[in-house]
Amino acid sequence: MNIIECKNLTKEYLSGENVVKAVDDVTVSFEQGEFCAITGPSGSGKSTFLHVLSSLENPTSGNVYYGGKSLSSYNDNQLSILRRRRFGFVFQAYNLVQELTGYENILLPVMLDGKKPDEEYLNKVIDMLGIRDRLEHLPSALSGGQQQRIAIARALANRPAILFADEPTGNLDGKSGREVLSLLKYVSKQLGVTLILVTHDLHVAEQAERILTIEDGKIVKDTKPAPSV
Amino acid sequence: MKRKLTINTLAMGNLKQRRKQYTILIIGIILAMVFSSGIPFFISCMQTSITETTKRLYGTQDEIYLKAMDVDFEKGKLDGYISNYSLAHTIGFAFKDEESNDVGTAVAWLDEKAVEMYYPFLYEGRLPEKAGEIAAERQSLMQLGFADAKLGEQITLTMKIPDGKDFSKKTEKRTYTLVGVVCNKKTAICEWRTSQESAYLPAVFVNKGEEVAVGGKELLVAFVNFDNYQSWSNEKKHDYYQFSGNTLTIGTRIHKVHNDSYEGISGTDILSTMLYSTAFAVILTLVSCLAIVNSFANNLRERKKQIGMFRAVGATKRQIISIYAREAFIISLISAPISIFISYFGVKLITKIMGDDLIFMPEVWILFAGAGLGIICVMCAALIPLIPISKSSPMQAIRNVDYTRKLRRKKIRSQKQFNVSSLLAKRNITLARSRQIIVSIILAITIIGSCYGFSAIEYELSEVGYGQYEYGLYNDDHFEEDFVNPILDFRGYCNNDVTELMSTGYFSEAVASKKGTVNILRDEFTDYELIINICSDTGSVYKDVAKGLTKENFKEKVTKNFSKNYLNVKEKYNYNSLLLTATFASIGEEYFERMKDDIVEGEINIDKLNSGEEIVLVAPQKIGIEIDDDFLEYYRIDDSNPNEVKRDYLEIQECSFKVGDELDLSIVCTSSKDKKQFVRTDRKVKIGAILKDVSGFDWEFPSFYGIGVLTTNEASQLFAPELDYNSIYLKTKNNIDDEMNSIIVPYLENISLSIPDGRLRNLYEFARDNEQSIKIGLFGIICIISLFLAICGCVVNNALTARIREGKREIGTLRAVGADLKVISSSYIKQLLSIFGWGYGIGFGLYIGGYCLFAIMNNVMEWNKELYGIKLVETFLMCAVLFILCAVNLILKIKQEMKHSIVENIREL
Repeated sequence: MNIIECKNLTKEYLSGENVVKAVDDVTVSFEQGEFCAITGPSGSGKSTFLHVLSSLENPTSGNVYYGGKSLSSYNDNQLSILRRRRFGFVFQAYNLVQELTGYENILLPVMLDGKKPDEEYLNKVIDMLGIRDRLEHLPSALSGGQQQRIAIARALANRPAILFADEPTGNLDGKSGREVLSLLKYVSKQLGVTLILVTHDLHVAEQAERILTIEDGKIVKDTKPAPSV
Repeated sequence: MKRKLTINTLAMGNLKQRRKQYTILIIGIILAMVFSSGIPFFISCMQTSITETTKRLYGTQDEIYLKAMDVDFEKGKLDGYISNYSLAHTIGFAFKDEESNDVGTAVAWLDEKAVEMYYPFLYEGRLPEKAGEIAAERQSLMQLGFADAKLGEQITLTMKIPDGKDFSKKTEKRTYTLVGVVCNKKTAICEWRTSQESAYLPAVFVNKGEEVAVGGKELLVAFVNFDNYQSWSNEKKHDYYQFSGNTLTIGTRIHKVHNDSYEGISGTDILSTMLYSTAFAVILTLVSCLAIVNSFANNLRERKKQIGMFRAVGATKRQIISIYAREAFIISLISAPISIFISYFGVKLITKIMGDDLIFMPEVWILFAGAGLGIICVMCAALIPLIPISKSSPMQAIRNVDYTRKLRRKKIRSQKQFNVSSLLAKRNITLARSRQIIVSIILAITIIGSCYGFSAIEYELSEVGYGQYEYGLYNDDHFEEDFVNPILDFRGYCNNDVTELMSTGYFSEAVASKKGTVNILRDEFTDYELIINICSDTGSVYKDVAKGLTKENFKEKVTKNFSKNYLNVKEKYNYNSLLLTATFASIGEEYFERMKDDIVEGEINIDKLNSGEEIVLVAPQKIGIEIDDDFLEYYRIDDSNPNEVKRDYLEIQECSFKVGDELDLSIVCTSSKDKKQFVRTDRKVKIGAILKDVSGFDWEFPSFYGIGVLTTNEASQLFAPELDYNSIYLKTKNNIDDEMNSIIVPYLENISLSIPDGRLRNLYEFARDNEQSIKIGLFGIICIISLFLAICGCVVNNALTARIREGKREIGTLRAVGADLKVISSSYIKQLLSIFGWGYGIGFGLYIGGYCLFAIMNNVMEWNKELYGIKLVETFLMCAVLFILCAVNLILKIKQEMKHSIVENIREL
């Protein structure tokens, strides 16, 4: 069952007087619980594709459908609600709110939704990510790997349906990167979350159930590698 | 790449890129420069205007000797009293007709120095250059019956010929061509002088060297400047008084100190305006500097990473300072000419609005100096935040270490549940407290200023308008001889004048009053009466009373040391008893109604007053005397300034009169049969009521200095039938306007000029001008308040815009995790609320606290200062408007930021 799909998705940018097509007429769908890696060379448009797909940016043309409903029919508020309830984001630069502690950062989407936090669930996520002793720290007092774990916990805090990760290991050293990636995989599987991840690292991509390769804004390859033993 | 990369190109590049952000900064800098250059420029214009107006109205001399024929000015020069002097050679006294041959003006020619010193300022035409030409003051022309004379017209003057000592009875006629009309100097200088004195001051000028008529001899008027008067010791001043005292017998001194006010805006008004302007200039410049510091600090904070990058690639601290200071310098150079332009034309406009009393005489160097000062201020304002930032290490700058340290210091604990906008606002406020201080200070200053401004507006508005009467005809009381009524050659206004005025149909009411001198006959003086006699202005009872007067010798001296005049009068009019000199005054019956609140004892019975059975005694309830040894002057205290009691007085006494006391009054008046003869009239009266000192009464009420015997005009016939009215105050029938005023004034001027020392007091014009200056003042206050609010708005806007720009990534992150416009903007609005809350709290707190403190001190210390009312609502409303404007602006800015995609928000630039 498709959870999110896009049809003829195009994103153009103006670069000086030239129009650059970062995403060029892409049609693709993602299944619930799937772990998909989007890969490609630098400047191929993979991050832009993820941003448009996840509603962080508006497409120039084409549509994104979540649960069969076009996102273009959502207004700003509805999109905000969608992002806080159904989507989770992990960025390369962590993007934690510097004034809030680790725990407060994790709680952000829940609090924005005005809900009471589900402590049992949150504790589970926190324990899975191994950040319990880092919750009272401010982001500036955390290492890159720890910040990224907080960012993952924040992305999962509201039980999202899809987790979008844009180069989540890009800022981390090899060991931390590997740890973060396995955590992402593990947690998303445990919680049944669809994980769509952008990476330019083939080793990372190889761990996905499905690999989309983008070049010049187009999907040039859509492969499902055999699960590694 | 042909272009060379220099610090200048870097600075210019930065400026170009940040044009938009710099616009507000440039406006702020222009404002600061306008304050730092425009206000001193305005003050200097006022100063030059005062100097020029004073020069036009009074000349540049320190003293005028009216009959200076026998004064040895050269000796005065040698003795170090006089630095220079000049002379006017009087060839006659021109008058209109034989019946009023005492009403007119001296005709003279001025030597070259006198033209410089006395400075007859020409309204039109020129000064005489050849025989047969004449220039005159407009008012003198009116007085001589040539009100409509035009330049080039021939006028014939009838003149009394001088005999070298005074004007003789011999007259002659001379015909002249009018070539110039000069500023009315005589009226200004002789405002408080008698016609006998002012008769010698020339207001009509003939060609240099014109001869006096055959058989006559010219009189001399001297214009004198003191030799460095400021450095004179008290001894020298005393010696000079002796020197000039001798000259009093032959000449009358008119000292410059009398010339402290002139038509329209008084010197003190302008001085206080200057003081206020200076205070506002300083405050506004400081506030603007704070705003500039704030703007630069915000700007640099936003660019901290850029600075870190520069440091990382090897820029030294000096180079960093150089790059950013160059930007500030270029900005101030752009702002300087604009601010000079605004200041120049702004001041010119204000001067024009303030009316003809101010003369625009620009001292342009002040503008440039002010702008230079402005540039220095801007550079300082830029360097204040720049120096510490330039000192930070590259990584400190890039990673914003301060922020991290601050967060750690605060020992923040996680909230288990929270409102996102509130928590973010709270944390930001905690972290940016130091940034908030400047904004809060400016807000607080604005609030204090506007509260005070609104109170001033309310107070000033209550001052608009004039009393019941629009015009007053008056002449100063003066006495031919002490203790005797000034009837000889004295004419005031009479009943016919009142009847004629009322018959014109212009006026609905005329209040006339008389003022003279009365002697109360006593066998013995009470202590209170001794002081009254010293302070009285109706005659010098004692000889050189102030000299050597001490607490110990007070009684002995004032019971023995009678003046020559006093003894002469006693002998001449056969007084056997002691004379307590007092003012005699009468006024219309209806006026007594208004005095009810001032009655200390008894009641006013009009019938008894009219019958001459009773009088009303005006007497201060407490009177004291203090001697100033330096000037051999005495000062009195009375009901009008009761707090003076605290001073060390020689003697202080309470009123010794009681209602029902019988008084023997004696008035010496001209005989109705022969005006050369004086007749003494004695009457026994009872005190019907005692009024406290009534110095606070209106213009139309006669003023008293010692004590006063007051009765009705009807009763005055019984006491002094020959005494004329010395003032008539008039109320117009319809609402007066400028057009009607222009009809009435010439008519009243004609009446006033027809009697010696007759003057017109135009309260309508006074009130109109007063209203105009109040309106200008109000406009100024409102402008200043608005300016403050605008600066506040800019500063707040700048601070929050910078915060939004700084927090752009955070906005993106929040949006990514599902925050909408409401959450983000409410977080910023809460920060805005905090800034305003602190500013308002401090501002209103200080204002109310200051007000209460002043009120308490005023009470405790008995300063008796008039307190403005507390005005909070208006300021609060204005602040609410400011808050709403800032909030709307903030939301628009956030919306603008949210128009970009989340990715654009998040992306590091």
